[in-house]
Amino acid sequence: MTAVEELLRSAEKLPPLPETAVKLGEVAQDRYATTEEIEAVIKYDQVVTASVLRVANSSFYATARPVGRLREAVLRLGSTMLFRIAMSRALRAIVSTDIRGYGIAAGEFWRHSVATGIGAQTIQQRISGETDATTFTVGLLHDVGKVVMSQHLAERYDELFTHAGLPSMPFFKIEQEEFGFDHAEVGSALAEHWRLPAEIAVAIREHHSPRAETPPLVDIVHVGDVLSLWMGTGIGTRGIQLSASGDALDRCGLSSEELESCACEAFLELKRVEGIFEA
Amino acid sequence: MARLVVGVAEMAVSANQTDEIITHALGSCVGLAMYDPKLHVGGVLHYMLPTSAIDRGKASNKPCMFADTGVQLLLDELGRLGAAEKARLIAKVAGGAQIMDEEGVFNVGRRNHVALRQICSRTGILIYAEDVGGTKARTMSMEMASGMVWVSSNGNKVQL
Repeated sequence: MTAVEELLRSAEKLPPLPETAVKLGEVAQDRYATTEEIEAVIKYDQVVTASVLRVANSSFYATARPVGRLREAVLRLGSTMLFRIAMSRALRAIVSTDIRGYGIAAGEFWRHSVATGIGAQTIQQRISGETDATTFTVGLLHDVGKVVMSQHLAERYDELFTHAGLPSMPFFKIEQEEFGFDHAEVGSALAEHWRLPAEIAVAIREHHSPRAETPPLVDIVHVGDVLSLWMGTGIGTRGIQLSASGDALDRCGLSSEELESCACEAFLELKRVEGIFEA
Repeated sequence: MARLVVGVAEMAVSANQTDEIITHALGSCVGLAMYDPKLHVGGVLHYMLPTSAIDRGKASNKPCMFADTGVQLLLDELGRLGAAEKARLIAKVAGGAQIMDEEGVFNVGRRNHVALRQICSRTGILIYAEDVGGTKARTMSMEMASGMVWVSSNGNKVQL
């Protein structure tokens, strides 16, 4: 058994991924999912249904008359926004405690996750003119391994990261040296445990080390992670010790200016999604 | 005492000496505190990008997202509270941290800082002190009674 498998096994109870999120992921993976299909998944989840109706009637979307039926709300919001709402709510249920070691509060971790999902989708939209649900899922779950690690290795995590002479290297490398694995590997194993598609598990595992031979999704999420830091999310007490690859940006075909423009757009989207959850 | 919390792409001004203005989680973003010591009027801006030229439309929507439009708005708001004399303003700066990036393509923190220096020199605002760069996360706060600015990072709080 590998160290990661052992960690997952020792975790008394792995956080479950809500059924609505899993099903919606399956439906939305198909770019041509119909609103009927999406509605069919959501309507069994009262909490998500209530959110969707509330958002559809918020000032941003409510152009004319209020909608009362889920079908109309689904049509008004579109599948990208629906998926963001459902998945973001799912992650919120999973992240109930602060991320020890990194000094990131639970709410801030969630914001960083949502921001990375939105950042990655914004980049993908800019590159290809369209975006898909898988990209949001990978962005949202890219750091989910930190949740498990901070819960089950809490004291070692605290000790490691509060050490005064913190070496000047990315956090995931510190984890690798100390534990022999990092949060990306743990997150990837968790995605497999949830039976998410393999491409999601792979992209979570590789998000710190995009290379020419890794799938383009890895580059997109890697740069999306940078964007979310630019947006001021996920900045714990330990600072921003994240390494970033200029090659990944090159492969995305974006200039620095275009990336700043993506950050600007993604930030406004983040505010919108946050507004839904604050309501 | 009221504590005014400034979020990302936001600002706050005050003429109330019992207030404290604070902004958290400055990474690559930059926090700018400006204070008129004669009038005890001041404000704090937390911006995330160097220039509004990348998207004028969004800049008009959310001016505090950018250095240029944000500083202008802060000056306007301070002027509205009577602090219109720029030469008297004490400006202090914190943030502009960098992601570890050998090629320097993701250097928005540094560019945020450079943009502010250019704006300040163009508009005749003096930067008295700054704590910028590195990979640190910073929190910046200003006491309205004295104009004292504090920067805390990783549990250490120092006066700027």
